[in-house]
Amino acid sequence: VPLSIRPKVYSLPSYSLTGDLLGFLRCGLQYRYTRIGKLPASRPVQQWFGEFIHGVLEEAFRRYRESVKLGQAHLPPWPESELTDIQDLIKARLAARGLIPWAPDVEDLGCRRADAAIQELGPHLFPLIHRAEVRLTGARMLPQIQAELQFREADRYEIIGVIDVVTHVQLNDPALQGNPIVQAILHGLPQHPPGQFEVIIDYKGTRRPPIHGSFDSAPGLWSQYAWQLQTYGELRRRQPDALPVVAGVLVYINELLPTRSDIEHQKLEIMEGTTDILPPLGSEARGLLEKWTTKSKPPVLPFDYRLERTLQVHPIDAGSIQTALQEFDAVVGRIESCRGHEIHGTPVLAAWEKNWSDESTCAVCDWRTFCPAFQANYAAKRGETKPRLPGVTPKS
Amino acid sequence: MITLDVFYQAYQTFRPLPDAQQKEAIEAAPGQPLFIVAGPGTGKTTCLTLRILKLVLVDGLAPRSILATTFTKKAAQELRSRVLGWGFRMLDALRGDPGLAFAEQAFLSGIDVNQVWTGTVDSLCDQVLRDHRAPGAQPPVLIDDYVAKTLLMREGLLVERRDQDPDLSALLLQLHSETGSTWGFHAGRKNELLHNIWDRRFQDQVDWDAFVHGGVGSEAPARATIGQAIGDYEQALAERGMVDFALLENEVLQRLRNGQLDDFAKELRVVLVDEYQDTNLLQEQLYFELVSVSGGALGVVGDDDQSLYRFRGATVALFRDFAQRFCDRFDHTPKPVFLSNNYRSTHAVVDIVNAYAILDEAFQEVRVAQKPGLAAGPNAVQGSPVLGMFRDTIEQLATDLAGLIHSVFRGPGVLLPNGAVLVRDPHGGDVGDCALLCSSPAELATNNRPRLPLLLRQELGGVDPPIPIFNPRGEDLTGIPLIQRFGGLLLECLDPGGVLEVQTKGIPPDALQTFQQWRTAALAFTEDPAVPAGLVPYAVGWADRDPGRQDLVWSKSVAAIDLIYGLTHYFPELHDDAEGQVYLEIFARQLAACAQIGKFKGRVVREPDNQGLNDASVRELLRDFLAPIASGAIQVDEELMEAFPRDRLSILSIHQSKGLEFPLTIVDVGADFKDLRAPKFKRHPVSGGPPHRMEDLLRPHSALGVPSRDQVDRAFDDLYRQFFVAFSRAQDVLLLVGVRPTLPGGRVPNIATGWDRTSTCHWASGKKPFVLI
Repeated sequence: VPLSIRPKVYSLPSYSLTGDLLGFLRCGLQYRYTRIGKLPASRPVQQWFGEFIHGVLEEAFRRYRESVKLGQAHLPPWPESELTDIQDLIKARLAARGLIPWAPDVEDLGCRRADAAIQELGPHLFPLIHRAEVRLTGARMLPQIQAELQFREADRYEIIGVIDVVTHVQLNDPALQGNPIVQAILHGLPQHPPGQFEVIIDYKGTRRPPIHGSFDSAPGLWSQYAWQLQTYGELRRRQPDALPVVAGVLVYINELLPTRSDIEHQKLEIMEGTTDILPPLGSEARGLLEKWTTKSKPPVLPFDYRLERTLQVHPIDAGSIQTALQEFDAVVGRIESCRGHEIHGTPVLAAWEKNWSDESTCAVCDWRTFCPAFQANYAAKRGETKPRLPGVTPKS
Repeated sequence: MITLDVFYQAYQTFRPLPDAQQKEAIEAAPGQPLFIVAGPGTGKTTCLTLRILKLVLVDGLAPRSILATTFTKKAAQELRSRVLGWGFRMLDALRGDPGLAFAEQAFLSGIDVNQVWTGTVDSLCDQVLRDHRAPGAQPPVLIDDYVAKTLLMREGLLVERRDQDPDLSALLLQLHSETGSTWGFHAGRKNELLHNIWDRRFQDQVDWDAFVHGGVGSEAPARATIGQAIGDYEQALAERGMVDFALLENEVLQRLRNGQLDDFAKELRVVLVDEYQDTNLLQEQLYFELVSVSGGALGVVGDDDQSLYRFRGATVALFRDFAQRFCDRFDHTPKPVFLSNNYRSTHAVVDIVNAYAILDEAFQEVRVAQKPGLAAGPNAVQGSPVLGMFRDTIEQLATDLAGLIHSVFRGPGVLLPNGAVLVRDPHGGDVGDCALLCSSPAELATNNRPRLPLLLRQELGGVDPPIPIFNPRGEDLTGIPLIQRFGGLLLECLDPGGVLEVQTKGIPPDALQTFQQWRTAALAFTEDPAVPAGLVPYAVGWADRDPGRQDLVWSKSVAAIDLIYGLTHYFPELHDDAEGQVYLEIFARQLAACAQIGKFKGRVVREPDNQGLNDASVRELLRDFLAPIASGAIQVDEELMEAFPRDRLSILSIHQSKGLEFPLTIVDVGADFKDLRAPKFKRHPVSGGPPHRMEDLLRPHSALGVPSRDQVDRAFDDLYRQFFVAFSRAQDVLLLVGVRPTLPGGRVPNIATGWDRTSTCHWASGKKPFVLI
């Protein structure tokens, strides 16, 4: 009698919306090294910046909520000492995990942007927040991959995510009349929402991407972020305390305090017509931008214009959710196929998609000197065919 | 809600119905505390999953009100997969059931089984503290064991050179060795013992003041020193906002007791705990507190015969006495349920497992009372008799065992004495259907003598076609040529010629020896004509801190991860091969640990006017980054391995094999036991080991009290449990292997070959429960 075959363990793969699915869409090979291989980025500037902003906004909201509980609602703007206290707390938290800003100017910019987010956005956003850091989980059918690539016993995959903020909006609440965030949401919806509804908010530690690719931003980012919000909407609506979810809002924090380079990009996009938010002709913002030259200090643009560029509203409905879920299912299928290739013996570089989204992703990638795609597309231009020894220009 | 009948109908669409024993647990009322004693292969996870789903679908409990924890990440993932996978399949079946009323369908449409809390106790504690913290409070930064030990060494043991304190050394030596042997008793070992004391302080809920101020003679100052070292460590953790596993669970317990987690706990209606035989007093109190606050029901599942983790603080009596302890606290007796129908193994395997469990009379005293033996499942076949392969020498054993494995999985099979042929499944069977289980999968003994795993690797490497081995825990990573070359290059780049290495305190001697081997391997590699172009100039540039361009100077501070990734460019085995990626992760992970706790944050400093600072940054990397890898303290992350490879022979420790099953299970019962000098603690103890001595030291100051059995008895109990687990992993065929002197009735007493603790061998004189091949 022959031996039986060892049964495979029934274990569903788990995919996070941001870490896995958006990570793979950024670049499959980079995702293999950093996420699956657990190899840290050598310069986690963006990670520090993103986590710092998220941490500061979450802590600021906790303090606001506590003040409400105590019957002494205390909305920003807050004194400098309070802002510094929050920032120091988050810096220490990140440092304990080994995450430090790579350079002093990154830390300074992070702090100034965090200040702007609390002081300018906080007064309008915090009163709307129902819950912060909302964990979501769901399960979807695992996409079929080619039979010869299959490697696991599972019929579904688990999808997980964390919503930065869930807001509850009651339209007839007098306190919300004139709230610019509510106005922006209503303006972005195709039809009038129910009297009480919910909006999902996701902070992005980046500038608003252009409509389609121009220089450093992926053509797919708009769609990818939208799919993320739609999927959040689907997972959120199943939770017991959820109201009807009508929209998701992306908050591009960098737009609250654009740097010189951000303004340059903005002007170029306005000129090329590749941004969806244009300063109206004759407006103060338009005037400031037109007058600004690269050598001068970045102008302080009016708050309403910056807020408009900061917020991007994506209506959520059954149809859009379905599209997003199908898109993410397809990404899961692609990841599973790559894993299948590797498990069945294909070398890592060949097994994984080199679907890099833009040059800026590749420019900071730790694997660029041996990545076939980088070498084929950018190495000649950038001169990076082998690792460089650390060196700096001496200070005179 | 739906009826139980409808529930089972939906389940039956994809799985056979549970048996009567399982139903007893599944169908119990939601508020019923349960004490489920589940033998190996009796469908424990199935039972737990169905209990959860029944509570949701039939009793209408909110998924969020059910919390289920288990011991390992792997087991937690399996439980969650079943809850989700089976839950959704049942919901699909129910939604398609035309017989259900509108109200029932409406109920089902509102169910989200994702909301059930599942995870390891640590992951759940971490999440709870993260979610339920006050403004201004930091969420815990959970550190792993290695970071914890490094911090304890630096901030606790080495401060004021406590490692050389004679009183402390004497006390720790008593824990380390029964005979007072100082073999292997170095600073690293002292630190490990100190860390065990720290863990057990919380796990056993020790009255710390009483312990620290107790003791007589030289033990009194030693305990005071332990108090100081551990106090300093605790402060270092607090200053960094870090918690380790013991502190994390203790924090949750304290907050539960203070009412600070009521929002979370009051939502719960049912708490289910798997693998309860490996729980400790801290965790028991945590679970008791959860149900006390919530008013919910506690259900525990486990098997005292499979308790393996005393050395990590487990107290099996908490499981054995659960009914009484629960009753004492809540004045309510939990319902006992025995799962004894085994769905894994043949009759032959079940028979030997049963016989083994009752072989030692004294062992019966520590087993759950009235526990029935295992019964083979209704579809079980008699199967092949249990087999035994015993040879004169370990070398001969390895040769013959390799021949058998090769013949079964690559050849025509092996003819057994009963006339049957042992052979792989012709339709997809492979060597992954087999595993070798050992007390330790280490390939080298402490005296560097090859052990069975290494000899088998060599033998199987020589057959045609070769059969590779998968032994992530046993392989000596420091000896792998790839790691030697890469590690050696890192050393030569950071500290050319080893000038700083010899001046660095805290590098164990074995690590220094490995450093030397690595450097030699790296230098030989750079002199090889096949060395990748560009590697040598890159490494020399690093060694000289010369950027290689006249217009540049070396950066004042460079992250060592840059060096790792730079060198990786020249090693396709590391960046283009799945196995190499696992090795690369070891270097990256250890550097991250060094950066997390180090003063220089994993960076190499180059201040032109401060050579002392430059050297200190390198010394920190040598000590906290490379030395732990070189000393063998860091192992591969098994999570990076997708699964046990089908084309390799898996070699596992018995602890690793817990929860797994293999059609052909080979158990090493005595390959190392060629004579009476073979370690007694592994076969027939005459004294307790460090975990037993640790219990005797600390438990007088714990509510657990002094252990009721002496150290030797506890050592025997642990060994019986280990081989009970090993034997019960077999599905079709169990093969016991060893050297001839350890055969039943042979000259080397061995509890794995039928000896009891009174030195009677029950398998001698023709009573062997296996057939020799």
